[in-house]
Amino acid sequence: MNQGPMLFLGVFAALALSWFGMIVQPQFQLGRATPGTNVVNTAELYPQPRPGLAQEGLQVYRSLGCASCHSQQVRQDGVLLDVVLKDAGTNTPAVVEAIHRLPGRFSLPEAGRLLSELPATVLEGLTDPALADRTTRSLVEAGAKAEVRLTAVGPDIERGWGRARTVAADFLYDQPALPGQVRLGPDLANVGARLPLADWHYRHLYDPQGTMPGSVMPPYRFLFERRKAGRSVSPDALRFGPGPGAEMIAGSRTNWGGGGAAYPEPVVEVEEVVPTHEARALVAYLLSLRAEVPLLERPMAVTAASGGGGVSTNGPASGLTNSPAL
Amino acid sequence: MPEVVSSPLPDVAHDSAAGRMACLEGSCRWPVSLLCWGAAKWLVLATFMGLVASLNFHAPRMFGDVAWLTYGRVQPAFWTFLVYGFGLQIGLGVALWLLVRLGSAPLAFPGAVVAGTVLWNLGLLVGGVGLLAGDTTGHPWLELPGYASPMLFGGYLLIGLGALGTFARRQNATLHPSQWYLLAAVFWFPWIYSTGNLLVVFAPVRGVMQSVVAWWYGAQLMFVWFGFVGLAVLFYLVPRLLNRPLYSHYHAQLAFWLLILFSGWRGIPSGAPVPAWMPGVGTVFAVLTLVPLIALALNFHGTLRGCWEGVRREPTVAHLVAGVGVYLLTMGLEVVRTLPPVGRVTELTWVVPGLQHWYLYGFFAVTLLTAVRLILGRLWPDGFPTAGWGRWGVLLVAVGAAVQAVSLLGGGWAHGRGLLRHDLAFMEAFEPALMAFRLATLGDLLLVVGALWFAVGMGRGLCRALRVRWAPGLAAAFRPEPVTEGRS
Repeated sequence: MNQGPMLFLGVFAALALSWFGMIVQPQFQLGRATPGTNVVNTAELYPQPRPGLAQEGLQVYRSLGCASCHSQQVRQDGVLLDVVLKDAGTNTPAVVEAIHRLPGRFSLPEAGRLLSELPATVLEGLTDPALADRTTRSLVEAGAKAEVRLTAVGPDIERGWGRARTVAADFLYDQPALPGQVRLGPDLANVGARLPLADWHYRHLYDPQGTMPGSVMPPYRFLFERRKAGRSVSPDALRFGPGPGAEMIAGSRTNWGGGGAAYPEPVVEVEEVVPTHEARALVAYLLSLRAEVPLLERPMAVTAASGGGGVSTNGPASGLTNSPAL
Repeated sequence: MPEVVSSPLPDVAHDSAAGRMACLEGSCRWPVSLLCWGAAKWLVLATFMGLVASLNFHAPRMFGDVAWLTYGRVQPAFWTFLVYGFGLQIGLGVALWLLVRLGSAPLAFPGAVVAGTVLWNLGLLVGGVGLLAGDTTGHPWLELPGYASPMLFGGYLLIGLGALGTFARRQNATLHPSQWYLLAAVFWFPWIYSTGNLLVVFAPVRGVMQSVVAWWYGAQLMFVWFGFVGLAVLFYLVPRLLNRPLYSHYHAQLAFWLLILFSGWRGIPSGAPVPAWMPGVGTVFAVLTLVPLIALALNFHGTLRGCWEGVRREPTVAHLVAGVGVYLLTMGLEVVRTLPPVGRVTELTWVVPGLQHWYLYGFFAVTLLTAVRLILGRLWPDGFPTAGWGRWGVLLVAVGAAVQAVSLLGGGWAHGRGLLRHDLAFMEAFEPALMAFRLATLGDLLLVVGALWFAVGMGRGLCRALRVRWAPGLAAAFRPEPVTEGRS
């Protein structure tokens, strides 16, 4: 191996291979992605661009290096499948017989009782999709209506960080996309669904240890303006403490008038803490992080109780984002 | 027992060739010294930034009113200074010297190299201020803002021109393994850096594809650029200092081609929100990397066989051998880390950056700083009359890197285990790791002291050398003496 040109060509070929494999090919697959159809509500496209203030907030998030400590990747180990009987149809004896023959070990009377409390789960926690499929088909052949429900499982999901894994589509409109690489703080992929109150986020950013004892998050006091309150405290000032009178006061100082002043009454100066525009944008972005839409590559159960009441866009929950902190 | 030769480096033959080699090395004296001095300065700054970042785990409220000292800005600045300020600069400096020496040709385009170095440092200064002011791109390894990275790119092209020109002028018929590794590294960077910056900063691709590009870039820089420059130094210096031949050129060649083929496919973390084949391909190629790693281990083992007494007696060689050890260990752990059962615990914890820190400090920095000790001793005999200068700095960096690695890996592992337990809230999972992260500050402190020790030693030596021989040195930098004898 003593020829410079051969060496150069070899190196060039190796790099070109890697470049085509890991840059060009993924770009064909991922870079041309477009918003897709939500599998539950086909009239709804996902993802949607974030609202304007939240997009500004993404830049604050980037600029402050929030992604150095916070990931936006919910991990998932797999799915568990439940077979749910929704409607027994007209041929009840056949359905009871079909339920009896399932691996769920229902006796005939038990199976009969199930039909009285529909929808009923006839098989629970399956990991084998083929078995779930067979079960559903056997029920359907007996004339019933049955479906398979999926539950994503994994420690992240059980901890409440999301209802299913994060997928590439969640970042489609983000510039930059910041999935993060280390979790020195909790995952934020669905923080807008998990912690939907702007007020909490303002207080957390101003004093993380106040809202989360033991946290190692640095405070972002420079995102807030600390100023003397006017006659009345600003409506968007941060609220600290439970007291009704002192709740909007960050710190107060009693200023006794100078000696021999005409007004001997003490003047109480009240300081208030008001979020700056940057803080508002950042919180709007955090509240817009709700990537909880069922997609083909991310099947998940949709129940009325979970999620943001059907507003599972990658946008803010209505009425929460831009409202003042009160 | 073969004799161990300490610095200054012995020459191939001790006759007129020695004088010729000194003359050749004179051609790269100024550019190489400038690159090394720049690298030493950025290393001090980087380790200091690392220390400031690590203070956050002791007193998170400390910098609450100072935006530019907040953790999210100091951490990317630390990494950028370490990678671009120290790593690439010292790598290029040592690479130029090696190419001059191995090719027996004077440095090509020394003026371009000096201009490139100035441009590189200027770009880094502008970009570093930008990072602290909040202009980071947000992508790991590619943090530098768009107004700084073109300056670095231009600077690299100018320095690379010198490297390629020197390689083209080579006089020796046979190529040394170090030359393969250096040529590959020099060529690799412009391609990956332009790809990374174009697709992430200037004409960004959509969504998570940006992260794919950034992950790919990071892995290329780490495994190919830093790995190859470090290996080139080790392949040349270890046999040379032990005064015996490299055990096997064949093993070195095998490792070279396999590493270059396999490294390009790694870098996508296993849990990333991308199609599963991308991390899957990375895992397969990571496991295949074991083959070149074994070839490298056999090669170094064969070279060192019977010399361990000498290694123990001579700290310079011991530091280089420690570099070999940390390289093999961290690369091996990188393979283990990508295996799915292990990756499930380690992903998104500090095991991943912890391994990168150890690789950069324990392998790359220790190897390259040792090389710089020898090189500057040869380039400026008046400035560095003793062989031991900077030795303690290197030792402190090695020890600091190990302390940091043990605490970050241990803490990261505990953290990862906690994260997998759904019954633990985040803070409960993080608690056991926090003590380990605090312990890592001790490593950061040792790194700061080591870097300062080295930089002060280098600064003093260079000042002394300049005082003694200001004028001739300056002349040689801009008018390399033509070499006529020995041309075929």
